[in-house]
Amino acid sequence: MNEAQVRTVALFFFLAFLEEQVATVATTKAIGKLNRGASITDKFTNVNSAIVYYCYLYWKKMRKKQKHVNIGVEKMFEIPGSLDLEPWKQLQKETIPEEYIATIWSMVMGFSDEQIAEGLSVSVGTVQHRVSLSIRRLGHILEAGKRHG
Amino acid sequence: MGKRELSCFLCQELLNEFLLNRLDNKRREAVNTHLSSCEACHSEKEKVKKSHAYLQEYSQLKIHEEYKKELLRSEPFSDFFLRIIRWDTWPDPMKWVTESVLIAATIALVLGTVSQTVLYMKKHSINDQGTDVAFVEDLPPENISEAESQEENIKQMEAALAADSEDEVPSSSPAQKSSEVSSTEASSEESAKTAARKGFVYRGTMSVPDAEDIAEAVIGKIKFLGGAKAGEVPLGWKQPGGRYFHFAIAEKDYEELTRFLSAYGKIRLSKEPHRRVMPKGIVRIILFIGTDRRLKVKKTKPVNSISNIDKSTEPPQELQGTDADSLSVPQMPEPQDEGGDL
Repeated sequence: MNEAQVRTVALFFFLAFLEEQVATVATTKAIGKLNRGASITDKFTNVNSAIVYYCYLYWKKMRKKQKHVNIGVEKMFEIPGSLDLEPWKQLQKETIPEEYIATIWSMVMGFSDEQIAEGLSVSVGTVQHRVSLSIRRLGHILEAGKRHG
Repeated sequence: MGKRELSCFLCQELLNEFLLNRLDNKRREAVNTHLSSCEACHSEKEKVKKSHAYLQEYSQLKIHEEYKKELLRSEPFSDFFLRIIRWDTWPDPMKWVTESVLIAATIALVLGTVSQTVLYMKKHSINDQGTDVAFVEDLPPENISEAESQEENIKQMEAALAADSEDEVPSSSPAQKSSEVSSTEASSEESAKTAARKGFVYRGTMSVPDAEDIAEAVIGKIKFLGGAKAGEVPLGWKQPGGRYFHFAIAEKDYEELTRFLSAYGKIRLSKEPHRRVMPKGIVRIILFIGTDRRLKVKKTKPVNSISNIDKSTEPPQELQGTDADSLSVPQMPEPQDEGGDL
């Protein structure tokens, strides 16, 4: 895997868990699997779908071990002062995991709906619906936060 | 027929795709038309725009170089293992529990090792001769029976002999002796029945004036009848106070042997259950022939030369119904007045 792909995986788990220890373990495992995955090209039409697939796999495994939120995440990424993590945390509370996970791949990573659909083994329409719901929910959260802020 | 208008629900569903320019012209135009006339959907569009801007910030996040290097050089499984065992990352209660368990385990290990060592030293304690003495329970079943036959049986038999010599004097009539043997056997039938599923052994004692005198004759007779030693010790093993016979013999020859032995003194045999099962037609006999000095004193006539009996390896002729006067077999001592009623 190249550095960009490593960053992609790390960023996914960072946003999915918002917890350094679990995110690091999951990232390490997923990168290891992707590095060893000789059959990736047989299973998937592109690397991004494989990344989605294995990240989703380890996210499901590791989410059971997640107990704390937002512990030491600054060690992973350079977070600018202007970036508020609260709306994202709120989104995780208000939506189902599959929705915000699809949003990460689509809106943050810039993967195509087809790649995400292949990696998650769902239809393109399902991906679009999940992303749409999540985006609109996040918009409401941001709007509400702006009003309260 | 006019163009069908987009519903609010469908418009809001397509807003994300609309803002990302992923819609085809037809749908784009429909969404645009609906947004111009619907305030709610227009407001929703603004919110989605904000979401896009917010998420765009995440996509610009830079990963820490150190963290990236750590991820790149890390071995997945070993790294995971190292992370798990990293002491400083453990929560305090877990550290305390682990420390307690380790201390308890160390104490248990030390105590266990010490107790095992003590037990080992007890089991393999060195006796005066410098040879190892093993516990009986460590021996295999075969050896246990040997140990019983060599040690415990002798003790029991000696005790029985002592009791016999106190209470009884050898009877003068071989016929009576035979009946006594059979009555003893009858009394032990119950115990034999209980052991029907297991094996059995004939265990008995015999008192003679001097066991050494008749030992060779008895050995010869046993061998003549095809018997063989059953234990580890030799046939007629010399013991303080007598001779020890542990042998197997054909069942059909048992009666003949008891008749032969009865000529020398009173024999008491009992059938007892035993864990060892003998082949069909073979019986195992454990007999202790003890020396009773008082019998020697009481004797009017010494026991005949053993060599005569040994040569023939036949029981005394008086047992075979011949005239007693013509026999060269030992004359059994007559009970004296003072001990006759015993």
